[in-house]
Amino acid sequence: MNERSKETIRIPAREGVALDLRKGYRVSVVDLAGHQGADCVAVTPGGAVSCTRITRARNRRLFPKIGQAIYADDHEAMLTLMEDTSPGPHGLLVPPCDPTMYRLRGAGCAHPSCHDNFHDALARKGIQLGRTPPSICLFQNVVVDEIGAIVIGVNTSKAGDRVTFRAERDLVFVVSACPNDVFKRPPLQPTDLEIAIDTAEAA
Amino acid sequence: MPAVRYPRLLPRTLSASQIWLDVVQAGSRLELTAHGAGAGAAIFSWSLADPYEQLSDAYTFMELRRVRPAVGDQLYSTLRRPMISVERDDTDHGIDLLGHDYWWPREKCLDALVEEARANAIPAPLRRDWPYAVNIFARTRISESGDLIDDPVETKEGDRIELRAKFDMVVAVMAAGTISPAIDILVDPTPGPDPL
Repeated sequence: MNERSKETIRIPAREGVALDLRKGYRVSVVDLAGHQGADCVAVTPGGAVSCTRITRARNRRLFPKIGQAIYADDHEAMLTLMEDTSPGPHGLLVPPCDPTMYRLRGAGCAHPSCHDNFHDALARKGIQLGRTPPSICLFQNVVVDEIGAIVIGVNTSKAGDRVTFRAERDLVFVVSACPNDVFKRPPLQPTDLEIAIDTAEAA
Repeated sequence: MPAVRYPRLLPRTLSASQIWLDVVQAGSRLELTAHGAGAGAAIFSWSLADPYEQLSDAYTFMELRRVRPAVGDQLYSTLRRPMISVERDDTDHGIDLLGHDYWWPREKCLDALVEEARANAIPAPLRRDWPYAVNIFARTRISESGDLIDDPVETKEGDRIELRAKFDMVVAVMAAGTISPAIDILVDPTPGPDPL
């Protein structure tokens, strides 16, 4: 039997990391300064990828409730939502920011993005995806109003707010400290995230 | 100069769970007509030049800033390009990007579509990389607490949704269900009035 361990990793603002999780590990994403977005995707060794659309459909929710799961494109659960100390609401609707978005919004061609952070972090693990999956946007303040309009506001998470998942299968969990500074007013610039991994239930 | 004449166009009828896949040229209009209440279909699409540029719910949401496309809207690709324009929708918001199709024979239908592309040498992504479907004659409502609720579309016989391709693409269609009414598909290559 493995010994229980806890590990914390700091993700600098605008950067991303890919972490190996075994089934049963708990992973917490912590907004250290408040108002920061954390875009996440998950990939299994067999090539299944987290799927926002199937997750919405399986849970019949815009975002899972505590105890509900993030699903992969093979319809199997990947991550179960265990704890959420933030006001949410989080997002499964829109894609990660990408170079095209920044170019179209006048921020130039070389702006860092969650899209590039995902692919770069996965490449460091030797994983190449043929496409960019829409991300699990933690702390994102996205709501759909009564006429179906999508409204994205400044994130309302506070310093120290955290979201915790339990891995339901072995997977690579990728987190990007969203580099979006185009839609945020100073001083709400991108800030660091912390990832805490607890191997408790896998031990 | 004589007017361009197109051959008489005939629709293809798909019964429940039947499939259709073909290349649709830029500017062509795709008509989907319901045979009755309960008809539905899932549509997949990707660029003919690059099967990994695909019709995307997420990019469409981002660009439209709405969850329900309407006539006049454009559906976007994974490269944030306008891909399909919505020209007619008799069912009032009968194009559903929020839900997901997973009725019982779906996987076999997908296998059949993959084989159809292969047999006709039509470029397609790997099966696991197929895009997610857009459901037509379907609608999902969102409650105040974020629950997704089926909002049945009162489809009548003859109700139609018309889409127009913004660039050369592959379109695949699965007729929904096992006992649902059929749908007709017609591709009209006559270019529309608007520039691409």
